[in-house]
Amino acid sequence: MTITNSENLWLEITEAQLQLSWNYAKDLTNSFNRRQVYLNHLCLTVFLLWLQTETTSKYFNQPQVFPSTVTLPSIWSLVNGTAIEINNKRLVLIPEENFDIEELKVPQEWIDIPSWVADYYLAVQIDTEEEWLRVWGYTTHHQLKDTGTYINRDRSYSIAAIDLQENLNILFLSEEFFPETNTKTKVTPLPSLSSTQAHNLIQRLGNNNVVFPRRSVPFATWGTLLEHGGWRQSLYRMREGLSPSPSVKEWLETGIDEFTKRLGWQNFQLQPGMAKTGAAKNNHKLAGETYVSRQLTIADKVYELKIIPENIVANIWRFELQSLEIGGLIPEGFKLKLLTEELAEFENNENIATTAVQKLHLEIALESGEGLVWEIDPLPNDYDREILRF
Amino acid sequence: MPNNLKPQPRQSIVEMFSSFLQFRESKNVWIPQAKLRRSMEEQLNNHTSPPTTGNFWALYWYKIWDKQPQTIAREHLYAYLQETAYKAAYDRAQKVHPSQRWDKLQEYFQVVFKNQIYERVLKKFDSEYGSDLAAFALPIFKNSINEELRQRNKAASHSDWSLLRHTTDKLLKKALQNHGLSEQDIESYLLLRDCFRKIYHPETPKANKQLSCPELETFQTITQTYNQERLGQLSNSGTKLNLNDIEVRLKEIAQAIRNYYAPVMISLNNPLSQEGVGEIQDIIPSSETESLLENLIREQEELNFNKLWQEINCILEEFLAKKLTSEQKKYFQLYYGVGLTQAEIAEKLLGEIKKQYTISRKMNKTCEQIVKVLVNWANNRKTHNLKSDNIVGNVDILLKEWLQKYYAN
Repeated sequence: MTITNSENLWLEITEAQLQLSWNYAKDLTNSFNRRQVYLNHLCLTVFLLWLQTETTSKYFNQPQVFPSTVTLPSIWSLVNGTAIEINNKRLVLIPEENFDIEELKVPQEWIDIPSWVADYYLAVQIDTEEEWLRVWGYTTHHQLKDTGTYINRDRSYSIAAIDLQENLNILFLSEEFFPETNTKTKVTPLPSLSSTQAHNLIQRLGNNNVVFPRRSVPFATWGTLLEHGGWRQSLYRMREGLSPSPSVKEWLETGIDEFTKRLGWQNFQLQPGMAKTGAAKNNHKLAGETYVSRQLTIADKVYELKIIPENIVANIWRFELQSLEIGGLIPEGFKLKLLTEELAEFENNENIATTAVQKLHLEIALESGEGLVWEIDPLPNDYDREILRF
Repeated sequence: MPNNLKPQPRQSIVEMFSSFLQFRESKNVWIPQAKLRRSMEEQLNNHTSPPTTGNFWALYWYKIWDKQPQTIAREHLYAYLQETAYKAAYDRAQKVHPSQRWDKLQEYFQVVFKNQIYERVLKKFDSEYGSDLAAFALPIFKNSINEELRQRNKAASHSDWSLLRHTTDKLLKKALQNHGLSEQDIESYLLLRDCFRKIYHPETPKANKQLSCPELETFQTITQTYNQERLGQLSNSGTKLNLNDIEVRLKEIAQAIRNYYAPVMISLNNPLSQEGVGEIQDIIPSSETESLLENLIREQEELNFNKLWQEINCILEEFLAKKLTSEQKKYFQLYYGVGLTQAEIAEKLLGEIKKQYTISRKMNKTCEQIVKVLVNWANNRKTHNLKSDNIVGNVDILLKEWLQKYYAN
């Protein structure tokens, strides 16, 4: 195979990368989008490797996957495309296996969901047979909205090859010289959805036989469902044959399922000695001997978010954030916050560190089966909303 | 097989902007078009001492096209670019066996007409600083031939079922239009292809060339899904299809794609016949075209272009001499000077064709270095002609044009 356009960015794919991505996707229960998951994973792996090894410019400092590496399958199994953030600009890679490069098709989700909107959209052609991929063009949100054609059938924006910039270097140079250039157009906010509506949709679209979930309900409704990381994750779990949202009580009783482990949650047994001293020190009555926790990275420092049962019968729980570094504190201004599943505030739902403290915590009594979403300000790396059920 | 595949270059300005290349049995000839000839003669007669370079008139027609794309200006430009398209096809044909060259030459020349390649050239060119339309067009024509051949090879080596998975909607739509389907039918075929592609894929990491006919069960799922989807998706809900209809239609789509990729002979002396093209006078007042011409002549006389190019020359020659490694220079020399592809350079210098990707990236990186220098220059230059909305892109194009010229000499 000979390079047909030297303006494009051409990257080799190795056998090992093919295999890695294949293994990542092959066990998914729902087959309709398995190949999409595979291609997106492959595209991301190869592209990130290039960013990290061959680019020297400061511009490329620490690319971050949006919204979070661990929840990518919940996106890929529903929508094509992978978002990466570099220097506060967001790029969406759109991988395709087509032989021709007549058009770039961007799913509407990446254009019209307000928090998903990106600055740039990259057209990626993958040839798994000959083991290469190329970025054959790119465009901006602004241009897609402006000159792209909206295709109702598959809810996408299409832009012809002739209207794309074919050299990716231009993107990075433009960003370096003219970072103020306008790349985005305003989009309409999406309506809100009640949790009842959301659950009904998740039940309906979670049915494995629905081939095109993303076009089965009006876009605004679909977009709201997807934008909420917790609901998206629930839908994904349903389509993979699991319960839609995990219950923290279950985690404590029967252990954490594989999916949740991948999100970072772990089950801990309190050391008997520790439990006593901890309890004595904090003057708490521990309901059980176990708690769940996940690690978080906030501004390059490592923290731990713990959820500890205070009283299982009364359904009282304690959320605790603390530093995992020796002698580390929670800096002043950090905020731990809980929201309802519909992202509504409630009384005493947040705690702010007024000075640097050892622990930031919240205690809350819940109805049985109630769902909560946690937030921390500043936002941890790789943060995606999740619903925890109690 | 003709001895000399090179056509006689056109001698006069009138010919350059009014004739199209045609392949005859043993040679190729320039066929004049009366309407274009008259139009060009008229332009020359309007002026007492008209400029005599093809390049000048190309810029003139380009500026008119830029103001009003639907005029005869476009036809003049198409005629002018014929020689460049031929050169691109000729270079590519040198790589095939001599006994096939004549046929391939025609085939490659045709490719440039497909896929809006002329349009692409006009759209990307910028007459504010670009000085040479033909030099600018050549690499684009070459790329388009290579790209089309790559796609044809891929399509030819894959089964129908695999081909159905590897085609954009846009190409599919064009193929179905060529196949004679109505817009309404095309919508339903596109929907069917969606269902097929979502439900049937190879269960291997690599795309499967020999992807076979789906199993009965898969066909049933496709049929069922299509019949459900059509109700909400198609404007008239379409008709219910059974499993057999589905199979027949999918094969029909695959055939339409194959036909689309097959080399076709289009009438060359009138490649624009399908578009409504008006006389310039109908659209742009003659006073405007005249002042455009006067301005262009004045610009050339004042050597604005030359000044710009002299400055760029100085910067680039110095940069090349002082900042580039011998490896970087070697790549440029072989690519722009000798005209090797990056694959050929990889084979020649590194003995491994797969290294072409590395070479391509290295060359792009070198260009990036140079573009940075040029952008700084353009930013500092007080009276530059560069459009500010896309300085980086334009400077990059400028650099490529300069490299073409620099190494060609």
